[in-house]
Amino acid sequence: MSALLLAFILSSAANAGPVSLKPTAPSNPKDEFVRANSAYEAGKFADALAAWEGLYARGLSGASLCYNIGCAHYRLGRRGHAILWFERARSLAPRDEDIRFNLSLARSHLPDETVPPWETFDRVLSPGELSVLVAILLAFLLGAAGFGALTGRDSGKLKPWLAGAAVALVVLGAWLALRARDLASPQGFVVAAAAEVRSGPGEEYTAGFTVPEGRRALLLNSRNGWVEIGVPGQGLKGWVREEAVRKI
Amino acid sequence: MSVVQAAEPNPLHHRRGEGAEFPESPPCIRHSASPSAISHSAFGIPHLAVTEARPGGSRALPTAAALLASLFLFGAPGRAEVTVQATVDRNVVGVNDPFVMTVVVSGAGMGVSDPRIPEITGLGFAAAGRSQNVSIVNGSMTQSVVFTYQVTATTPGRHVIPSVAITAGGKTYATDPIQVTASAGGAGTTAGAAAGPPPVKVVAEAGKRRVYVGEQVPLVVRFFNRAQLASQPSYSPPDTAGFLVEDLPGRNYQGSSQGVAYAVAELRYALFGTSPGNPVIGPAVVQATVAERDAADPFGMFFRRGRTFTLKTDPIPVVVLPLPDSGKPAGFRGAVGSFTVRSSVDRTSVEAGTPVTLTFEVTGRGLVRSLKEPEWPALPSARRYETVSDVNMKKTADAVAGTKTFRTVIVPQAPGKLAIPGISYPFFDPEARRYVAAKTAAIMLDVKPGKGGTSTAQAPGLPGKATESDIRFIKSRYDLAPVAEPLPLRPRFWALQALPALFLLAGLAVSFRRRVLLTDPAGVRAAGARRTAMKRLKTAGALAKTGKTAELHAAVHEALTRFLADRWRVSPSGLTLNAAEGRLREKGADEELLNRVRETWEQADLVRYAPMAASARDPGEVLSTAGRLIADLEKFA
Repeated sequence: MSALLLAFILSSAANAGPVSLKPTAPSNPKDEFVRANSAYEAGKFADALAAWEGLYARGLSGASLCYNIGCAHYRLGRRGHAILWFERARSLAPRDEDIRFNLSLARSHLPDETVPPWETFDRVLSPGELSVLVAILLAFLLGAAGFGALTGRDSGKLKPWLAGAAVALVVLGAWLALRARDLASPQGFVVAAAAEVRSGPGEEYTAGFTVPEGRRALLLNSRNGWVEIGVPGQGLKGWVREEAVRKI
Repeated sequence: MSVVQAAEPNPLHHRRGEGAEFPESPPCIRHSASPSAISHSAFGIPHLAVTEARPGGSRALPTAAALLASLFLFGAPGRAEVTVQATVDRNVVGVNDPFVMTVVVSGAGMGVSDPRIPEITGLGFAAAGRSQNVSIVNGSMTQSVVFTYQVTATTPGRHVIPSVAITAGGKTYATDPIQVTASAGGAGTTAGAAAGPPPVKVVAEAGKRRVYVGEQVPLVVRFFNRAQLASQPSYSPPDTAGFLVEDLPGRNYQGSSQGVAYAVAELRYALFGTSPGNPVIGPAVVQATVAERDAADPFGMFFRRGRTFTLKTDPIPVVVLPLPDSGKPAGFRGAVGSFTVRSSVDRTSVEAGTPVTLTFEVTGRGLVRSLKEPEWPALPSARRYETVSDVNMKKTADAVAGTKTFRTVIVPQAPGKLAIPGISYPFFDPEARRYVAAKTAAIMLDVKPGKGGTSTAQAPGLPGKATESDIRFIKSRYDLAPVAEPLPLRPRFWALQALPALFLLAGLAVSFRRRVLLTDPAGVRAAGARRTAMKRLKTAGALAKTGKTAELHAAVHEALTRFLADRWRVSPSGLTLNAAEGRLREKGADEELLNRVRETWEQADLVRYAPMAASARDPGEVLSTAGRLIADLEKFA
């Protein structure tokens, strides 16, 4: 299953957008980025989008790039894609106000969209920041303990700090574990307008419900150009066409 | 009076797409022979009945256990007069139309032989079972034995069933002849009817053979059973390629087929052709094993043989017609059936910028689950967002029906009256063979000014979620870097976390050693005795180079004595040569080693106090000799 998902993820990345602006030879990424920004400012959203996605396809990423791609999709009316890219940007720069605002605005178009109350707090730190914090706390605690053992000195006044660091390590460690689990489980967004969700991987299966563009979905399985999705919080599950969803 | 009858057959259950079993137990004969099985009538008369069905068999063993139990409990049967009577359920029958003949022997229980049916031209007999009833009234028991036959007239005309002879209690009795008239008009159709109706059979029946795309084809699969099944039958549903299938509620009932009583398990489906063509409903397959009893086996009631039947229904061709092009209305989205529509809003008076939920319901018969959302009317002064839908299915025995509900959110943008026009929902009615456009009534919304006085400043989404109406501008900061795996998912990152742990382990090791030094210094000295001795010898080597022979031998002496003292955890000052020899001897050192110790010790002792007595031995040799000695002493020290 993971192999299928991987194939799906790769194909998603490869087919992530229009190809109207395709550089014939690799150019300087910074020049390309600036050129795409200029195209956006001139109202050529599709051209800007193609250039930015070209950079992403070259293995480059960054909060600004993801944010800009999300803006271009939004301008082109692809709210599902826009939400997807704003989410990617937020995972890289979780406290960026512009990213949070645009994401909130794009999501406000979704009917019955409910954001879990803890999500705002949960996204304050990126997974990388959480990892570094946990590593620092771990080094501090183990280092202090090792130093004490090495020198034979009593920690004395350091004890309250060590206790606090231990509590923080437990809390941040649990937080990090939850985020790592989220990262490891494939999630995506519906990028097709009102995707019909069927009971099996094929048109011959009945459509049970529709999922609006931009809805977050768990990617559970993949088969013959169809992807099994689960809609978090609603207990719904079914199959949609592969092109109807994109992995974060 | 209550009689225990053969159990009802099981309902026909299955799972779609695979062979399945009939989940309930097969019909079986329950013998109420035990005292606990005796039932009481409304008059308080205990009645014990034994019913036995033997399809295909002509001789049956009475249920010995039941009779023995009844005899044991209630004494010997009363001496009643034996009467024998034969009856038929009708005297006018059709050719190949089976009818039932019953022979009742009253007043006799044990020792009743099977009736001897003579060969009769034009009539076929098949034994359908033998049952035995026992009634106990005021301690007096009466019994009767009933023989049942399926009789089929194979030629038209008048037939006479002659007297049937039966032996009971050693005497032979005869029934009266019965006259039956068979007419050619009532012919049966099942194959093998002359040999009796089949014990099990399966029939599929399509309610329609010519339908439009999306029109329902009712399909019924009936499993007929009048036998005792040895195991649960398996069922493979028909292949329905080219159709969408909805399961309908099935049922079980007692019915008949061609005049023969059967227990019927019925499965129902609603099929909907997906495209024009000539799809074929494939055969449904039932595999059932009918129990057969070995009459010669006294334990036949427990150990039964079985005969397996693989039953298939006939394929059913269906013609699926395309929907007519003529009269197809604009906005038709493939709905086929008979529907009514209704629309509503959750409120009719709202502020500008406030969302209103518009609900559209389609109710009726047809494949409700696949209905598409309607063509929503254009609302210039309002924004409309995505549609969500849910389905509420209501299936009857012969049709799929239900309601599909579509909900969308509209946000009025300007104060005033907002008219939501009637929503049209065209569908094709296959019964009327025409398109029908159902339409809802228009809805009027009273839109008041928003809190900001106007509505256009409101966010296009749900209110309160944003205060700006458009996304913010792009970023010009260049922060691109190669895409990398998130830090928490990199094994190397977590491997690095082992460094502080290693540092801690090192600290703990040092701490441990320190504690040992504090608590057992002699032990530490003993463990490092040889190393210390070798260091001393090395120091002595430096002295030798400067010609300090006395110091050299003093160092050798000290190295040797301190080595032994450390190992034995004693004070070096109190250790004499004799004491050392004694200890070494105790530990098993040989004389050669003792001689070497003595020689080295005395030589060193002598020279350090009388340097002139130093021999001409090479200092290096002295040191190496001492080193080898200390090494050899280690296992005895």
